[in-house]
Amino acid sequence: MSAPSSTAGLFFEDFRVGQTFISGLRSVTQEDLDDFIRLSGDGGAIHQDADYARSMGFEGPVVHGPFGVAIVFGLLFEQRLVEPTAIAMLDLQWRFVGAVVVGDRLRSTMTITRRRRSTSRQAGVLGRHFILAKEDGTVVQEGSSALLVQARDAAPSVDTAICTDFCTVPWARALEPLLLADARFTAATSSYDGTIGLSCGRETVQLRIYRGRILEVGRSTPSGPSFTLHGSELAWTELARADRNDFIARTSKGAFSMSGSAYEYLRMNKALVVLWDAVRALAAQEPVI
Amino acid sequence: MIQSHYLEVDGAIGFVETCGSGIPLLCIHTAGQSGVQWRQVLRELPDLGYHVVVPDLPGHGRSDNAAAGPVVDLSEYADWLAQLTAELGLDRPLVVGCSIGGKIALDIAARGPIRPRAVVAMAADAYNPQLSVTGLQRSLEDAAAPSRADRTFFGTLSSVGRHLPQEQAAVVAAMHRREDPVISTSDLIGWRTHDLREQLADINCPVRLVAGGDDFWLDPTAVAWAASQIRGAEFELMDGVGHYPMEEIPEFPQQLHRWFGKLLAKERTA
Repeated sequence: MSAPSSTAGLFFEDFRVGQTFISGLRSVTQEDLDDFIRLSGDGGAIHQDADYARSMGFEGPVVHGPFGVAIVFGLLFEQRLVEPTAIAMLDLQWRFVGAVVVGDRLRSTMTITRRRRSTSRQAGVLGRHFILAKEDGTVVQEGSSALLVQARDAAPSVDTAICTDFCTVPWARALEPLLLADARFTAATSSYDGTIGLSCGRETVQLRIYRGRILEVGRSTPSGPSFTLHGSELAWTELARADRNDFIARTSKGAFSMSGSAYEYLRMNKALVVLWDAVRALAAQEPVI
Repeated sequence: MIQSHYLEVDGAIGFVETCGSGIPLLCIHTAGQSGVQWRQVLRELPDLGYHVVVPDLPGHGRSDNAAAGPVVDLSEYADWLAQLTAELGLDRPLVVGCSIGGKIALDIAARGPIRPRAVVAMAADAYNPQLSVTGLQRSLEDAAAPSRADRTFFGTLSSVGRHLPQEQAAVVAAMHRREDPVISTSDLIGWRTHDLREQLADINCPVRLVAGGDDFWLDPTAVAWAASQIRGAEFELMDGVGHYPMEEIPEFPQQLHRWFGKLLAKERTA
């Protein structure tokens, strides 16, 4: 999916889950490294002593991890995507996958992974996943950070953003009629008495199922889930927008995992494949921009 | 005309179909499947000048089960195929295989009496550590593998490439649902535990390794690595193709004919 043609000062309504934005390239210089040592006060040997860094298996002095975080947001500013509509960065989860050294040329890719209206002001929260990679595509850092951004309009009476607000209760309530309308789902769960947990990033929802019927949808259920399917916001976004439902292939490659009863999970495999058809159909109801 | 043979191999029935006269070509099927996977090849390749030979490995299709029980060592299949090709009097056949069949084809190229003229190994490489042997052994127990039919069906749908129309993908998946879980799982243990990395350097016939870009069973870089360890081997990554090229690629027999044409030209130059 490509970005909208006009990328100046986007509002909450201008984003769509699955959109990606690719930055330009940023060269990392010795001056950057020196400046960051001064700025952060971290003058560790790994950042300054070339011999020590090489003896630890790096190409040269390692540029500080948080420098990578900083330039991700610098590269984002350079694209003027949310200028001046951005209000606040809400959180940050980050992994440092590979070392950055002076001379590297880095690029950031941002994927929108969630959209939710604020209940207190004319604004919305965007889930964002970032990949910082070298010019040849080698990923050095990866993470997510939510952003509060201005909304152009007040909340509409029917909020289509819930179509991709994965694993929240409103989302699961919207999913419920799609599941019940699919004869394959009721057939696959016709001998089931249990609760399926679904988890996307920090959101979790449970579906209490009895013989093909959904008895309850909620954040918790009396006996809890027999198993829970877990995936990151990026994993949910990518499969929701993929050109086909290859849930099992993605699970094999580690994009999704499960906890709880392995056997109930295996038994409900078809139900999960069908559930993903419904997730994708619901996500497709989010209007195309 | 397609001919069926019930040969005696290792004191048990080894089933094989043959068709055409010309260059002998041995076609090896994937885990849990049978020669039925080559039905299109068997009907069309004879017109392109091949004597096509499609066996069912022991425990698969119409061949008897192996006397010692389900096979978990792919080299046993390679040895069985050596006996079968000797029984049929095949002289240095071409060999094509897919998945475990591809790995068996590489094994055959590296050692043993078949001495193929050229090999096309599809959806295969030398080393496959991704699967858990313990997990596979556990799932040999029926109670530990619920919804096996559903999982085979949907798992196969996920492993074919995006270029295959949905209805055809469903046919491939339904064919896999026919499998005996014990045989398929044993085959996968063989796939997981058979390590050919050291043997690749012993291969001295022209080889082409073919991997599908949508095949979640394989890491394309591992296939490329395997190709780099075989003298003069070719490697091709096919966009939109999954784990079953012979059932996915339109006009596969013509494609295979082109591949072998290139490999045999290389044999002549050498």
